[in-house]
Amino acid sequence: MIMTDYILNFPNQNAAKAGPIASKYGSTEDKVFTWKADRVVEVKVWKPSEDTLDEDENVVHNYLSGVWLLISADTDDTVADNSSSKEFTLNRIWGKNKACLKSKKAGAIDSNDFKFEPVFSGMDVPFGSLE
Amino acid sequence: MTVGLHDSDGNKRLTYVAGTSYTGLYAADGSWNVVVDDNTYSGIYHPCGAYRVSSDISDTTLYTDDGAYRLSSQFLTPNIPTFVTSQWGELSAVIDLYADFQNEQYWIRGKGQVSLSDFLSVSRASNEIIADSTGALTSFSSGVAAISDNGLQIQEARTNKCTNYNANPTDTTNVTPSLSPGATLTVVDDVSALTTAGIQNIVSSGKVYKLDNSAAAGSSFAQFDGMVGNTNTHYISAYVRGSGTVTLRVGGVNNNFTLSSDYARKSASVTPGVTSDQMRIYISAGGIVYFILNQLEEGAFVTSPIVVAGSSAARAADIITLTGQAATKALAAKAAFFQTDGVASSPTSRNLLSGPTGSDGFIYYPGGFDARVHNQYNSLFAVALSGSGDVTGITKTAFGFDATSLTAVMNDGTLVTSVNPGSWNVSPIYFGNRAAGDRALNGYMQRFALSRTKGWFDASTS
Repeated sequence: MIMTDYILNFPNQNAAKAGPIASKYGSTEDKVFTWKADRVVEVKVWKPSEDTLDEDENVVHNYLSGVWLLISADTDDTVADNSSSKEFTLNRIWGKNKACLKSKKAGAIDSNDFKFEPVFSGMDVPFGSLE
Repeated sequence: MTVGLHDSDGNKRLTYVAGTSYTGLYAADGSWNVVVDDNTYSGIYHPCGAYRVSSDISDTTLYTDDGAYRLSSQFLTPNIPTFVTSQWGELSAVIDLYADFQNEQYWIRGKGQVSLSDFLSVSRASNEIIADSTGALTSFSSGVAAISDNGLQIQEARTNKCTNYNANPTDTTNVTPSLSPGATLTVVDDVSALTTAGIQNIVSSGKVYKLDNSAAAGSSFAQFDGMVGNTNTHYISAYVRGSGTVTLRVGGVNNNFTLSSDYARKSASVTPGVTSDQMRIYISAGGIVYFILNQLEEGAFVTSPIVVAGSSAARAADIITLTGQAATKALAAKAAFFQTDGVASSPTSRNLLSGPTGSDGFIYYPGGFDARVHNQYNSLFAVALSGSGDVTGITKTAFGFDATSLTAVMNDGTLVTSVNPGSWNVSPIYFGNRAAGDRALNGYMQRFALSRTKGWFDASTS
């Protein structure tokens, strides 16, 4: 069985919580919107090529702007597939959890220069390996 | 010679002619009222011939004139398995669903013994690691129920913010040491001790970190990459063994533990001072600490280990849903029983059963009142016997409700009755959390039963 993971980018929280992605993968409880925690995690995204070093020689990531979501579906999901906010689609084999790049949006960031965290525990992301 | 019990008119009322099919007690019109043949006609009859009590093994039932059941003793028959009858005895007759998660045995009236997937669905996009009663760790893949002899684990989502290789390190990548002269930080084999602790299936390479401070006069520490990111309450944890005193720390507060030769998971609550704080493990002068499965997570209590491998990693929430006949029977239920264990003491409520929309967490342990269970809609609560206990140990809760009242009891404590009309009020769907995965039980669901009659609750608590 193949799981499908999606990485989506929205300009801000209001935009993320307004569309069909929010309708399917969000929940409003006690009048507070939350992403469904079994399927969605907000991630931080950066380009390794833009990393810098601080005064102690530690690597500093320069995170990309906007709201980035990692959404995991049991199968291909039409709502996520059709979202204009989708940047990358990954396939993951159940039980093995190795995630491979399936597709990316035209004009998306070079997947070889793209990192994000957190990943879902057990999810191995050899990004760019199938390009 | 005529043998039997006769009426004054000389008519027989009872014969006991052995070996015939006519043995029984007769009415004046000649119809049977009691038949004691050990054939399919044994029982007590109405003059019309309808059964009232049949002693037939396959249909032992008390009937009314319309033929409807009034009392079924089918629990005596083999179609209710022993694991149900041994727990509930005669009350098994009116149970509709019984789940014994610890022993992985499940039964639904009308379906018989079923598997877990026949009545529950599990949604979780990540692995989940849980311990059994011996402390041995097992990892469950995405979408698979995390279950052991402790029960069914239902946890909220958490992220381990450390970014080292906390389960299978090959070197000290993303671990920065600060060493006193003579101290070393290395990765070493430790298979035997890992196996003794039961964590060898997670730390499958057999390698752990070793911070050897035995030749040093001062303390040393290892710092894990991965910042807290905010100053909310966090929990830090790790499996540690060795000699001397180990300190788990974020910010300026030390949490000290004396090491032994066997691995043990140590944890502490921390309040970061700044968003750039990171987790550290210190070892005292002259000591040695072996450590693995370090974890830095935001929250008011520690959760099960989350493996990281070069980046932070999230364990997704368990969203567990009653399906099929379980959902149908839950909707029709008039009594319910829950047994939980190891539930986190938390300022946030932890749900047992929830409806389909956000605000109807209608049976839950309320945050800050650990010895209570609430029904949200009519504010019913029951207080444990001691009045000061909590739900971190084995906790048994039963609810019963009918058209006029709702009654609850917890840990054999005070029976509390609400005057409000009793019902679930909403369709119970979510088991151990809410739709978004929040307000999770954060503990083990061990046993769960539903009945369609409040009489089951009354009888079981009387």
